[in-house]
Amino acid sequence: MIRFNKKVLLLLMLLAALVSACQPADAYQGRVILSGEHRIPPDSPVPGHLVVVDGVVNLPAGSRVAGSLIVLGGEIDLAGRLKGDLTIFRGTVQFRRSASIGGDLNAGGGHLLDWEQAEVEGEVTENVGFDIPVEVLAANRSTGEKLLRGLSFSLVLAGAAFLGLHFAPRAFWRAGKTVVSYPVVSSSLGLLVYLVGPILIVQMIFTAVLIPAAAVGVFLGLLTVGCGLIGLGLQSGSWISGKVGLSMTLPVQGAAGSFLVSFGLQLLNWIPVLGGLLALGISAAGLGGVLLTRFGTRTFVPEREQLVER
Amino acid sequence: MKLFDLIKEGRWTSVLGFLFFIGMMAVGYYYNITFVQLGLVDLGERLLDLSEITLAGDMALMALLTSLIAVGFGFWMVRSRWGTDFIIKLRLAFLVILLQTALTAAAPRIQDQAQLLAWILLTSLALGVGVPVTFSMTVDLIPAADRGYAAAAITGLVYAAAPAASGNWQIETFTRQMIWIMPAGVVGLGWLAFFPNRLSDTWKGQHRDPAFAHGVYSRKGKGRARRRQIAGLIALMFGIFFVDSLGFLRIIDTPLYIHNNWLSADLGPRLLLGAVHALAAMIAGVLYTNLDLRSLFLWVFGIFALVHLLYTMETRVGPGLSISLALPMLYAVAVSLYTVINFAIWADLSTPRDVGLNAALGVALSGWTATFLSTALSLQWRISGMSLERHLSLVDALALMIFIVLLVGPFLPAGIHLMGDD
Repeated sequence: MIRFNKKVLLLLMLLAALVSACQPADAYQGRVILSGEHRIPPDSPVPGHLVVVDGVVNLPAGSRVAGSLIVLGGEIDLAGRLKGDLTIFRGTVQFRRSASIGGDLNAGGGHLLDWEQAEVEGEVTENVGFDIPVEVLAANRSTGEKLLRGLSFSLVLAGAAFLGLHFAPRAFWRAGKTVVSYPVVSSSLGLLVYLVGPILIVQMIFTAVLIPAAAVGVFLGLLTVGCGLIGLGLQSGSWISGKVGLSMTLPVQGAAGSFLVSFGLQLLNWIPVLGGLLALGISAAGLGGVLLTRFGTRTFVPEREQLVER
Repeated sequence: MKLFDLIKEGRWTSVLGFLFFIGMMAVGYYYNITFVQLGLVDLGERLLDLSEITLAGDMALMALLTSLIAVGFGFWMVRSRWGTDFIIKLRLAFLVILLQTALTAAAPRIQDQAQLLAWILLTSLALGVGVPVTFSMTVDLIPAADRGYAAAAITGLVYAAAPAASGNWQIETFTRQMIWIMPAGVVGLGWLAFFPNRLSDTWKGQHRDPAFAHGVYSRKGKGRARRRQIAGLIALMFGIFFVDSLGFLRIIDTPLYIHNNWLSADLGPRLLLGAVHALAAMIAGVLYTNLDLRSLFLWVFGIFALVHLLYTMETRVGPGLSISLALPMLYAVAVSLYTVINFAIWADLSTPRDVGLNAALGVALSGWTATFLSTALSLQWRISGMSLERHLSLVDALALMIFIVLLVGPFLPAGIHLMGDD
C-alpha cells in the first residue's frame, strides 16, 4: 500500500512553484487571436508565435511573425513573412505573392488558397490526417444515435464501477454517502471547481507548452467526476437493492446503480435548459463528494458539527 | 437552516429581522463600494481635477480616519456595553444613515479640495461609527447557524446589482441611485428606533437567545491562543484586501481590461458578471457554513494567484481571456468568496459584548488599512514607472506566497492554525 506523505508532497509543490517562478521573462511569447478583425502592421512584428482561433487576420506585405503561425480557424490573408512554420487545422489562408514562410507548411485541414505563389523554404506537407472533427462533435444526432452513445457510456461506467468497487469499496461508499447526506455542500464545492477549472485548463492550452499538463488536468477532472458518479451509483444501487429485496454484492449494486445514474443524467440532458442544469448540478455534487472526502480517504463531517462535538 | 425553523415556528418577527439585516447591510455595502470607493475617485479626478497624488492622499486620509474612528468606537461600545443594547444601536444607525444621506446629496456640489476634506471627515465619521454598529446587529438579528447564508445573501445582492446598475462609474450616477433609497432607510430606521413597535421589542431581546448570541468560534480557544488566532484572521483578511485592491487598482486603470466587461456598454456582460458573483456568493455561504476556514482562505488566495498570473500572461501574449469575460468571472468568484467570509466571521468570533469591537478591528484593520496601503503603494509604483506586467506579477507573487504559507502552515513546527483546525 502506498503511504501518502503530505510533507513530501507539499515540498514538491513548493519546489514546483519556485522553479516556475524562476522562468525567464521571455520564456514564452506569442499572441492568440480569439475573434474579431486584426491587422498586423509592418512596423509592429509579432515577437513569437501567432495562434488564430477565429476571426479575420490580415498580414500585409512587410509584416513579420518571429515564430510560427498556427491556424485553428478563421481567415488569414497572408502577404507577410513567417520565420517559422505555418500549420493549419481549420479555416482559410489566402496567400499573396509576397508571402514567405521560413519553415514548413503543414496543411492538416482547412483551405489553402493560392499557396503556390508563396515562397516556402521548408517542406510542404498536405493532408496529414489531423483535421479536428469539430463538425462531427457539433452535428445533430438522431435519437437512436444519442441513445446508443448514452448506453455505451453508461455501460463503460458500470464496468469501471464494478472493477473499482472490488478494490476500493469504502472510498466510493464514503464519497457517495457524502453526496447523499450533504448534497448542497457537495454541489457547491463541485460548482466552484466547474467555475474555476475550465478557465485554468483553457489558459494552459493557450500557452502551447502546457498542453500536456492541461490534458492531464482534464483527464484527472473527468476521472474525479466519474468517481463521483460511481459513488452516487453505489448509493442508488444499494437503495434499490434494499427496496426491491434483491441480494447483490457491492460491486454489482454499484455497477447497476452507476449505469442507471449515468443513463439517467444523459436522459436529463435532453430536457432543454433545466435538464442540462440539473445534470450539471448532479455531476457537480459527485465531484464535490469526492473532493470533500479527499477521494474517499476520510469521512466528511461539516465544520460546525465538529466544533459542537469538541 | 435556522431561518426555516423560524418560519415553521411562525416567528415572523424574527424572520423580518433576518430580512431587515440583509437589506440594511446590502444597501450599506453597495453604497460603500460604489458611491464611496468609485464615486469619490470620479469626483476627485473628473469634477475637481485633482492630481493623482492629491486624490490618493485624500483616500488614504479617509481610510485612516475611518479606521481610527471605528476602532475607537468599537472600544467605546465594549466599555459602555452598547453591544448588548439593540435600541441604542438602532438609534446610532439612524444617525449614521441621516448623515450619509446629507453627504450623498452634497457630494456632487463639492467644488474644491477644502470642501472635499470636510466631506471626507464627515464620511469617515459616518462609516467609522456605522461599521461597528451595523455589524454588531448580527448577534441580534441573525442566528449563528445562518450567518454564512446571510452573508451570502448580502454579497449576492450587492454584487449582482452593482455591475448591472453601474454602466458608468460617475458620482452623479451613484448619487441618483442612492438618493431615492436612503431617505426610505432614514424613515424606517427612525420609526424602529424611536417609536414603540413590536419588531424592535422582539429584536432587542434576541441576543439573549443562545442560538443568536454565540458565534460558532466565540468559545474556541482561550487567552493568548485565542488572541493569536483572531490576530491571524485579521492578518489573513488584510492580505486578501491588500492583494485584491493592489491588483484591481491597476487592472481598472487599463481600459482594455475593463471596457468589455465591468464597464461594457452592453448590459449582457455586466449581467453575466453579476450572475457569477451571485452564484459564487451562494456557494461561499454554503462552504463557509460547512468547511473549515483554512479551505476557504486557500480557495480565495489560490484564485487570486491564478487570476493575476493569467493577467500577467495576457500582458505578454496579448489580450485574450482578459477582454472576454473569463478572467473577470474568475475575479468575481474570488471577491464573492472573501466578501462572504468578511460579513460572517467577525460576529462568529464574538459575543454580544465584544462584537462591535471585533468587527471594527476586523473591517478597519484588514479592510481600510489594506486599502490605504495598497492605494499608496499602487500610486508609488506607477509614479516610478513600473510596468503593468511587473505590477501584476508582484501581486501574483504575494497571493501565491500567502497560499503556500496557508498550505504548509499546519506542518511547520510552530504550526499556523486557524479557528476550527484540529
